[in-house]
Amino acid sequence: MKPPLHTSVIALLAFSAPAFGQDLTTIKDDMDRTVEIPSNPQTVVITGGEELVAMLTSIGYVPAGMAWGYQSDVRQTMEGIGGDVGDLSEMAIVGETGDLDYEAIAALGPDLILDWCWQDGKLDKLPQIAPTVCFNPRFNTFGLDAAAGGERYAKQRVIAGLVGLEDALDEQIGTYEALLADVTARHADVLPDLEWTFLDTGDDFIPHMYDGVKYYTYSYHAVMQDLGLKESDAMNTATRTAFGYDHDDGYAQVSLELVPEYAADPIFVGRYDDAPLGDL
Amino acid sequence: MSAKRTIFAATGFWLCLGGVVLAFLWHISVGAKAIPLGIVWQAITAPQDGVFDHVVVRDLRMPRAIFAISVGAALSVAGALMQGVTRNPLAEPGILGLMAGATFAVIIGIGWFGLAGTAYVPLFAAIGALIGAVLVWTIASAAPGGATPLTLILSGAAVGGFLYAIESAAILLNEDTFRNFRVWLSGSLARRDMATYLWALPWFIAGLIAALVIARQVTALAMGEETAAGLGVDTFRIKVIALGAVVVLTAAAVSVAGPLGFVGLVIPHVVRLFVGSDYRLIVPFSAIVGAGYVTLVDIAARVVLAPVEISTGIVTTMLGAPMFIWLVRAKL
Amino acid sequence: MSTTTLEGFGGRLALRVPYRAVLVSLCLTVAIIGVLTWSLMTGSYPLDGAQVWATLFGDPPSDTASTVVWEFRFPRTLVAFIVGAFLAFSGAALQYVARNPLADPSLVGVSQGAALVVVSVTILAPGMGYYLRPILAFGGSLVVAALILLASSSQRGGETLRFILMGIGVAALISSITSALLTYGDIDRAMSALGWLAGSVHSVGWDEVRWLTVTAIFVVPAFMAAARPLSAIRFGEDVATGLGIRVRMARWGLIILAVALAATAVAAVGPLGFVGLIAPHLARRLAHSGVGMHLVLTGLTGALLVGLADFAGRAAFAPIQIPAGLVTAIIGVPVFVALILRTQARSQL
Repeated sequence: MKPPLHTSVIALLAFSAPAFGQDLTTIKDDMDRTVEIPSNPQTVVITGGEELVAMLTSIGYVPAGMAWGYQSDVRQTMEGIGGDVGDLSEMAIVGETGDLDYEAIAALGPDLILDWCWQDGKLDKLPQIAPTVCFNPRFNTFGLDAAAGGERYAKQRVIAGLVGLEDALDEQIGTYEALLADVTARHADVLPDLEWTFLDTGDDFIPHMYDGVKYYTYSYHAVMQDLGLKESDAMNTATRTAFGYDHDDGYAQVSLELVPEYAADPIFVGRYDDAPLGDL
Repeated sequence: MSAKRTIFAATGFWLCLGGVVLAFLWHISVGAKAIPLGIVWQAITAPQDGVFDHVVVRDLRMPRAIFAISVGAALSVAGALMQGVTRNPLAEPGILGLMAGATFAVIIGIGWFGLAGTAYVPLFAAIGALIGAVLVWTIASAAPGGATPLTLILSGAAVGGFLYAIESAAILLNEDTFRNFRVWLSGSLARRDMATYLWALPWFIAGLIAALVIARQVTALAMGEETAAGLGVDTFRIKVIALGAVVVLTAAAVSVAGPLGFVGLVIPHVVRLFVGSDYRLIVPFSAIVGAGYVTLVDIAARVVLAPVEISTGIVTTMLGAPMFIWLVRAKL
Repeated sequence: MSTTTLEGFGGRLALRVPYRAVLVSLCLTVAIIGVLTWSLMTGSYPLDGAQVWATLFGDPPSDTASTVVWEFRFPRTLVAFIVGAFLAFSGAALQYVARNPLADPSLVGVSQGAALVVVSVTILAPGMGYYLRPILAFGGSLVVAALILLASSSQRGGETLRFILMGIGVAALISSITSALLTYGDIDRAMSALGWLAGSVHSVGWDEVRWLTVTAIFVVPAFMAAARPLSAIRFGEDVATGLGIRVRMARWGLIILAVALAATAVAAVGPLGFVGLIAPHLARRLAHSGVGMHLVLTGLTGALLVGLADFAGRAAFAPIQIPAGLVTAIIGVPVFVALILRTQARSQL
């Protein structure tokens, strides 16, 4: 029996909807660019900013592709940043963040590209493939909007909204806040007095992060802040003053000898797989 | 040697040795963290568990100072032997391709056989250094005019450039394996890998002893093949031993610290200014002065931009390249 | 073109040479068009020959196809060609001026000078315009070239060989300063500078094509005009002076042109080694000719070399792209060695 004509037409329309125009919405990104993006993007490629991938995978959206070292273990790193990452086997690697394979990106046929947009020349090319939204790490305030007077989780909502997964995000936020409330309640006596430091171990040195940008601390910074911990002074000032100029990305190689100067109550010496809550 | 010169030499030797000891103490007493001398001394003489400053001195600084001393001595002696045997004022393990060969071999070893931090690192480095040396020498000898300082340096640059390009491609193709070796590749003493050092230690000792043993014959060789032959020196045998010693010393140095450029060039020239052309003096003095030099350079590498550390190899190149330029101007 | 007068110096085969040279340059042009076609057809984005053809002639199968061909493949290939020609010209000029068959912008420190300046800007003043890069690179290279020339000249003469040795020394010194800067700088910027330092044409676009073309318009005619002094300098300063050429001026003028070309090329894609060394020699082997024709052949050979190197780097280990700079080094060193073996060591040390 032939299906009624109108059903096939509707099915066809639904199936090919992304191909011929869909609803567009405009968004203002971190670089103050006004970008017109599809309101329901099907294929997202992330060409810079692994924490964007981590955030999206944690709410159940696996991007079509991301930029990363070809031979690096993407999955392990993603788990380090974002916890449960889901199945990444379908995700294509489209070059390195600083050396993109633009054709590979085009071959995925994305309708939205997310990037951190600080590398020279990328914005000349990416928008030619698909609308490109910038989440600049210099302004990346994941989870810190509240402290800055903004709405809590605003950035996450924007990103989740891009792929239509606000509900999943709300669920994640719920879980997180419950956990937060639980920990805060159980340790209410000590938490307000604690200071924290984050040190990341390199080969022979500790890349040290301070206040300039929270980017390298991924979500730790937000978690610490939500728990009501203070940042240790050393983390914010010691290294900054030691440089002739301001390292505004907050990343420096610091000798292991200085560890005690960064001493705070919790020191997170990260190889990305330390769970901050576990250390508490 | 006259008795007077012997006394001079002996005095000078002990003075330099004292200098190295001072450099060593200075090395372990400065660093990113300010530790009072008294505590440094305590850390050496009466270490206590759990005192962080003692840990810093004993586990972070002392191994590094020891590496610096060994590497400096090895490279300087290697450079001295090469300059003597080839009668080439610009000979040096870095310039003549040995270091590039050793580095390349270690990279290949790490990439294909995963041998990081094992006993085989010096062995691989030695094979690589030998191949590099032979390659450079063969190309230079085949050039019209034979192995002159110029052809040697040019073929050294060629072999070095070639191996470097292949290394870079290998690293690009296998990033995960090499991520931790970027620092080593720029010539750094900051690896704190005592295991590799212990494996390299016999190589250091063997190379230095061989160098001392043939020092007298190298003096004769430095005066010319005929002179040496006339003095009854088996020139071929000495050359082979010298090559062996140079390869072993370079391999040991590279496996501990990566490529440190120009150390072997600078030190023997400085030493020669003071002790003349007798390799029985040049070899031991090069060892001592080289040890002190790299120790001081490493202090600078850690202190100048503190708390950031620069790779030691970058600093030795910064200091050594002008010396190279001066030598080209003055001696060629 | 002043081919016939130049042949007066060249001596042998005065009549047949231009034929062969013209033929060879035609072959090279065909080969370049071949590489261009080949480059336009290959890439990570699946497009067959017919689709590329249709895209080129105004009927793209999709917008993306048009972007891929016109925005990614075309400028990249063009930049590879232009940069190759620039480096080849630069190498040829340095070889003539220094009367040294082994001169090359990357061997005598010029590329490293440009690299140091570009890395400094990337790391210390990242906000500074992308467009200032070539000019700054030119300044850096010029200083280095002047340094090397001053350091290698002396009352004793024999600059030829010292020039190369000085270059090696100065290159080592400058590279170590660059490395120190990389250590000191922000890791992000250091990483992006590192990618550039490997010599890669992956991420160039029409902007680079534009300013390379502008440079070409200004510099290449001047360069071709220099063919006459070049041909005279080749035979030594006395001959040149005898011909009424102001040797000092011509030398410095040529050096500045050579440095300008190399610096612009380096600013666009990073240091590409050995192209300037190989291309003039290959060109000479392909056809003996006067200086003017030789420069044309050299430019074409350089363009072809870098075009091929970029293509090979892209295709060999796909999807990993090996920077063209590594490929040119791997190809270039054996040629360098062959040159060492053949070069008469005129100034014995």
